Amino acid sequence: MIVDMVLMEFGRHKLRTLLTMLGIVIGIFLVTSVQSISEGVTYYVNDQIAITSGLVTVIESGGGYNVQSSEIDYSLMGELESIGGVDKVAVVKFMSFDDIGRVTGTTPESEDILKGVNIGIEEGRGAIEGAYEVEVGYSYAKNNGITLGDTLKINGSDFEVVGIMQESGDSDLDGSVIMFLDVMQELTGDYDTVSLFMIKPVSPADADFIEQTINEEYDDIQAATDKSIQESVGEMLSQLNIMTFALGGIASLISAIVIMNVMIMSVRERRRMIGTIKAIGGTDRQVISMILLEAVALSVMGAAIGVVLSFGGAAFINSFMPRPMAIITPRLIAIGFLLAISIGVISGITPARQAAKMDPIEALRYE
Amino acid sequence: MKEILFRLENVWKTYKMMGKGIETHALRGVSVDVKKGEYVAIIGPSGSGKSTLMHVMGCLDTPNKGNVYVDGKETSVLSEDDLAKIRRRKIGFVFQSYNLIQGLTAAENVALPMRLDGVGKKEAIKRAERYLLRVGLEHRLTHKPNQMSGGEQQRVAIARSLINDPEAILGDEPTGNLDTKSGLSVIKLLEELHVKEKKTVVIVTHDSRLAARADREIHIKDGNIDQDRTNHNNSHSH
Ligand SMILES: Nc1ncnc2c1ncn2[C@@H]1O[C@H](COP(=O)(O)OP(=O)(O)O)[C@@H](O)[C@H]1O
Ligand SMILES: [Mg+2]
Repeated sequence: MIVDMVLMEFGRHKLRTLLTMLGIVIGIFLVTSVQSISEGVTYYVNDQIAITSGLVTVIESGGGYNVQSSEIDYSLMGELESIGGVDKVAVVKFMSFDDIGRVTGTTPESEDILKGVNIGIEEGRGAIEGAYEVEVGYSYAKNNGITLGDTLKINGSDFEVVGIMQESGDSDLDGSVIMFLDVMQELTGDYDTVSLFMIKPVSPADADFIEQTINEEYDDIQAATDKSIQESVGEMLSQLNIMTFALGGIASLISAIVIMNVMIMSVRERRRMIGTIKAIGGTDRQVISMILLEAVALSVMGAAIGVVLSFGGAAFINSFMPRPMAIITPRLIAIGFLLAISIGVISGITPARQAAKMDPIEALRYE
Repeated sequence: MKEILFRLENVWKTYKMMGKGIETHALRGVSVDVKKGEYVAIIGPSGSGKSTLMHVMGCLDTPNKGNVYVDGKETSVLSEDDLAKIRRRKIGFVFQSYNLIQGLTAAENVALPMRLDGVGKKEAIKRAERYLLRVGLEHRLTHKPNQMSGGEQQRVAIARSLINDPEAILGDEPTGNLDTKSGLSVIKLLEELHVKEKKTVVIVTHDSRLAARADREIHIKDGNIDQDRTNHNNSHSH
């Protein structure tokens, strides 16, 4: 009965219901949209770290951590190999071709390092250096229906698919074609730049020293261990989180005040109905639940609309990013609804108590 | 000797005007018994305390002094929830201005006390439809209050008062907003419930012709019982 009464009330005041929800809609929309960046970055970084664990990653300075656009001097490789504590240096070059999309170029030594860490070949064999052969990432094969022996046309030349990689968890790698760097250089005519180096330390304890040495001695490149990547991303995220927190706090406060005021007003308007309910045997608790539920339903409906809109917000944010960064995760949606429920309860308590305290006689006398 | 349903012992109800220190005594030591199955009219001038008496009797209001017993139970020791339960199960209220809930249909309004008692929607609506039939409104089940005449609305309110099968129906000027004809048919409906279903019926009125139809007339003046008399030979009586 309580639910019916609440729905009836919304049906009778559609515009007011909508306006009351507006604060929550905007608040949840903003908070969810902004926080979706944080969710996305966390996913991305965890992906990345799954592959690079234990390695020191070297990329172009000043480009953030966007490995796709990083360009560094290939000739630095020899210098890096001579740094104390360095066991091996792997090289990776990312390219994008119009006909097949993203291609990752490596060397046999690099493959050994990377595979030693995380990725192996699922099916087939590794490409042979110098041959026009490629391996394809797990999801690339899956999404494009590629099987062993297929031919891929890359930048005008035919390549045979000789291997399919295991799923690495890294969406960049899983979604790309992998070829040897020498072939890639031949294909593009660029022999000087690569995207990144991955350094395997002699022992994990050397990683910090290697990172430090590179960052002190070179201006054009920067090195980062998993730990420091996580730390700096964490720092960025915590700033984002503070922003979300402030935004969410203000939005929640405003929405709660709006809902509370509207509810107090509507409880006063409905004193006759509330008095009647009490007179015919409704308990204080039933009256309280009814008004509380109304407030919670208002804010939850608002949150639902806000969440739906935030998918648009995330898409908007992503339209400014080189790759999709903002993700609306189930976790984020759950947080949005929990927030809405608490706002509903908090804003509903006062009007609910006022309603329950109403004297049925006074309420019925009121004309 | 019939059982006593309502017993008021030396009941005082005093209203204090905020700030001014002026006190109004709505009831000044009223003592009265209403037996089960009685048909009682409370009559008196405006402001004499009729409504207050009925509210105290029906556990809508609590006295400042004196005792109220419903079905032998002293009400002053009961919790708010217990009092609500008495109002829900033992008593059906009918008000001058019907007090139906505007957004709900006739059947939903009638079902309300049953739903407040924890009965599911389907069952309560089914029962509500039976009671609407009982008051002659089977053609108004899904009408909203503003789509019905005053007489019809009051019949819906009577059906609502009946749905939990209470001992008593308390009506505070139930015909006060109605024209003579529909007022009379509402009174006749209440009388029928009294005769056929042995309901205790207590109505407040300031119409002496209506009061004369009851088995017993309690005259109130200035918060006191002025006269308490039994009417014999009423046509509707058993
Ligand atoms: N809430 C209240 N505050 C102050 N005075 C009240 C209140 N309710 C009733 N009264 C006073 O108590 C007296 C009896 O009221 P009531 O029982 O409503 O009379 P009746 O129903 O006979 O017209 C009146 O003088 C009325 O003004
Ligand atoms: Mg009155």
